[in-house]
Amino acid sequence: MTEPTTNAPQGDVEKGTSLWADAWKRLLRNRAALAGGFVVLFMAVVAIVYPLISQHVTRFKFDEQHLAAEPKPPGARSVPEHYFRVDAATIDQFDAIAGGDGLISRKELAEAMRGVQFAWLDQNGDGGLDRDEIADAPLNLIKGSADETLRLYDLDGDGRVDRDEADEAEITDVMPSRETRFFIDKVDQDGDNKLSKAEFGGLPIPEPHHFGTDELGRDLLTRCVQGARVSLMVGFIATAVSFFIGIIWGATAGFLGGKVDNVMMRIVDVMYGLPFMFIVILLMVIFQEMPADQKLYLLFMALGAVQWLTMSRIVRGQVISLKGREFVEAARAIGVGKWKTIFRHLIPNALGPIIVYSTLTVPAVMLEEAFLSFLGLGVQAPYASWGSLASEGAKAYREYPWLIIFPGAALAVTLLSLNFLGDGLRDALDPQSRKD
Amino acid sequence: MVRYILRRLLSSVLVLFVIITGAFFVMKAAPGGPFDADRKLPAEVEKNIKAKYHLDKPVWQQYALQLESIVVHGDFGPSMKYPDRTVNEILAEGLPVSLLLGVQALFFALLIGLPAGLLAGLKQNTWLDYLPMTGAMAGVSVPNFVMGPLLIYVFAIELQWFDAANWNGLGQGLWAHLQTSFLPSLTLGLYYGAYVARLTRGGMLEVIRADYIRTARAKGLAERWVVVRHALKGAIIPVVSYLGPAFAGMLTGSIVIEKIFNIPGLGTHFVNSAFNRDYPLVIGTIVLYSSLLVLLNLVVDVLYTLLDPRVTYD
Repeated sequence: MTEPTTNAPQGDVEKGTSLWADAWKRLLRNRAALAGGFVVLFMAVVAIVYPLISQHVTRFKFDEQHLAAEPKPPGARSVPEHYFRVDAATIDQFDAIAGGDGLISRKELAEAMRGVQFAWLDQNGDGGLDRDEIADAPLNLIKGSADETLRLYDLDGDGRVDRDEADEAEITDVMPSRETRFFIDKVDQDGDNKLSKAEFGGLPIPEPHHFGTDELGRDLLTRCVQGARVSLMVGFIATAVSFFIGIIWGATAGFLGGKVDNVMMRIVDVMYGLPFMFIVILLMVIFQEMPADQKLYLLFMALGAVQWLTMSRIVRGQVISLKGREFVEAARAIGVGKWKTIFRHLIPNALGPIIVYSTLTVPAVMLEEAFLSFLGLGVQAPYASWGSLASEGAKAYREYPWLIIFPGAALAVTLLSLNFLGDGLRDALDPQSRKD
Repeated sequence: MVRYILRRLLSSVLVLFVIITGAFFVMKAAPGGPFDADRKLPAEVEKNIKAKYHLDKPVWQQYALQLESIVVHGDFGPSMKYPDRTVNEILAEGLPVSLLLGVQALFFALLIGLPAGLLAGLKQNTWLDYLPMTGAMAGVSVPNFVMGPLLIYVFAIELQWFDAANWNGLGQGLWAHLQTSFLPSLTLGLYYGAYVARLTRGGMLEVIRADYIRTARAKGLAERWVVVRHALKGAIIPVVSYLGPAFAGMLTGSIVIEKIFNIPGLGTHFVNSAFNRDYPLVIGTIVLYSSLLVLLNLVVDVLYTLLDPRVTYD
């Protein structure tokens, strides 16, 4: 973004501060806007490097399922199917795990993993989970208090949940036997579906679900990161759509004026009267059957189409107020064409308010996407957006609060940041409108 | 003024016509029909059903029939999903519920937004400014389907002050009605309340430095009366112009709220009818919503001229 390009005289002319440098300085002084900018930047980076995060941080894929009876709370662990690590310290235990035949079967592996989970919970290593250890477990394994867990599962009444009792309670179910297949498939070389001593590199390490899982056992953190991608993409692309339509429409109407302006703006007026969200809902319902990725494009277009009206009005107003100015006159005097005048001279000078409005459009669009997702019309499974995740969570927020808290918070924090940033930009770029 | 209103009404008719036409042909172009059941109907039955809803006629004839029925008789026809009920009946049942919800939400929005914004504007750059404005910023950033469950959890489940699972109309008594409608209206109103607060503050700041306020002060009017008699009127002008879009937003927003709070309003019908391909009901709800919107925008614009004599439309 530069000033309108003029052949500035060389030499000892005093260097003025440009509008943009000035605005930048003002923005840097606004702490709320700055913080908002950093949060948005952080979310954007997270969204962009999502594959790396999935592979190296959360270690789960966004659509990989770890079936359980119900959503697992934050801190519960599962063995990742794709990006697993193995615990080298367990290599020595091969003979104990494999039993008499010297090979580890799926069943034996599952049994060993239950042992791993139990040992992790059994902090003092006495072979039973006492009241404190149950309460201390980083996850509330069974709904209800530690006392309740004891009452339900301490079958022999020794005040502890022993290993067999824990298995019964499914507390140790960190790698159900059906999931062992993925691990064995990856490591098995001779295709006998069993692990020999040579093939066995150690037991897989269960990774924590920092945000818990949904009802299909999908890692919520990974889904939130993937959701950041979709949510931000919807926000920015739909805004870009409205940006381009609005600029072209508004600038043309404003610059040409007269009858053309009248007709173009009358169209905008009529479209303002349309209940656009209803039309978007209708569109999304009707194209339900579309493949998920095509539907995403439709979503961008539909949401962008809602927003361009205001944009075109703003641009038109700017262009009209600018077109009587001397620099436009000068451009015409040296024979610059109509369209070149619009795009090279008028629009760059009108960019301030346009940028401000665009920044505030992004959160509005994200909110609309979330709204559509809530109705089941937004992003389709297995993909997720923050909106679709939170709306899933809204269905059972009493039992599984984490399902709405994390995506809801991510969405709210990002929207808040974008709003602060947009406000800050307005104050910086348009000091006259500043209300202080 | 009268000419202006007439012209606006005329263009509203045009808008409604565009909407009916658009909705009709979009629905026709969509795959799937209202009678796509799992079980195949006998050919004879299917033929009769199609004849009943004129589905056996060419599309343009269906369109003409539908348009005639709506324009001449104000009749949207029978619902295709609920054969024993007409669309008019369904709308008549849902509209009061949605309207009541919307009006109450608007009430909450103004009740919260106006004082907060005035306070912030008057005590600019003090904590009485920062606190409500940060709250307002948070208010416009939390989606209502997150806010709703949050409020339900705190006030209906933990504190048990309200009933979040039912809907009592005003007919069942004011208290019973408030029991079920307080939380949904508040949820719906909070977002707009936050926006109203921001607008009021902006309006206040603009007005408070105007010459006529200085004059009022100079002639020795008490500060309280300066605010109440002079500043207030100017400060709420931006709020008034926002009421139109706000109410429109509330109508759409109520779709979500109705779903969360289990309220039998228009929004639920609209979404379900679109899913069910219940063409008459879709068109009925859309036309009703649009008419409300168009009418409201007109009312707001007229109100605007009354508040701000500088604005005229002639």
